[in-house]
Amino acid sequence: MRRGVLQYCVLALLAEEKRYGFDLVKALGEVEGMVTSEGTIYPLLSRLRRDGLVETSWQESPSGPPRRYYSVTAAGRAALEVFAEEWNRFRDAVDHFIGGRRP
Amino acid sequence: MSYDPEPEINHYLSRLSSAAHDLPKAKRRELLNEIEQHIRQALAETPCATQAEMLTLLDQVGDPTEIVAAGTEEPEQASTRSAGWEIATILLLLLGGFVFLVGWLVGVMLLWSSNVWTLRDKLLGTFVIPGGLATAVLLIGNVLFAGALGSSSACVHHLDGTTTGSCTGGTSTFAVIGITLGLALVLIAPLVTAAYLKRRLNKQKQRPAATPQP
Repeated sequence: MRRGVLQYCVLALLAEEKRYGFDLVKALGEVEGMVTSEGTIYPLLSRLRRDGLVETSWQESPSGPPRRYYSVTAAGRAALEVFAEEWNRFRDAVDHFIGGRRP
Repeated sequence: MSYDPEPEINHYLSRLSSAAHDLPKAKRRELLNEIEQHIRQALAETPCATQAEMLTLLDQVGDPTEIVAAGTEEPEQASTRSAGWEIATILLLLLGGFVFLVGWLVGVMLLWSSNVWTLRDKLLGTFVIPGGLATAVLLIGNVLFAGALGSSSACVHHLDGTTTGSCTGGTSTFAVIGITLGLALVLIAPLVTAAYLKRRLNKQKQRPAATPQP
């Protein structure tokens, strides 16, 4: 389940601003429990690009080789909107049953 | 003396490269580039002074096979497809023999063309027992028929204890038990195989799900 949701977290982060891979992984890593192994983000990004939800561009970096920046496409934004709506409904429904169990 | 992380990085990348062996060339190269850049950026941010620190950093990047699997285990279409064909396959293997044996042959063809079962499952499905229940019914019919012949005409027990005709092994208790057990086995085996194939099918269908699709 985590992976299915993760892609929308990636889209949400990219909807704020375009980021390169390492930067994106760091942003995801700031919230505990989201990413277990950093490297798995790259196959995910590759798939999102193939599905037309993100696009990439190369930019010079102040240090080291050029970086591949990822940004969200219009289709990516649309997918994010749909998911966000569904997620809110789903979360409320689950909270209704198990929300009170919070330790 | 300063620690040189290069050997550890190269070792990791070569592991990743062989884990990604089945990927298309371009995809594999892209993945390797991205991961290498990632490692170097992580290293630039928090330099590793010891091999232990470097190994910790690589652990965070993740296991190469896990990384490659993250790209290949996509939401499978196959898993959402109905299990209709597989159920038909199992039924044909079990009962198809009654349809002039052709039904069973079709079942075998479906079994071997499916990607749900493993080679072992397919071998079991084919050879335990060829013809399925029809074979069992045929054998039982034969034995009963022969048994009826044996006791009614060929072998006659007289009241005075003598016997006329040929009374062969058929009357021996051991043989009767043996034949009965054999027939029971032939009858039960296809049922067990069918149940086994069904269970394997269920397992296979459950595995790849877990990814909610919008």
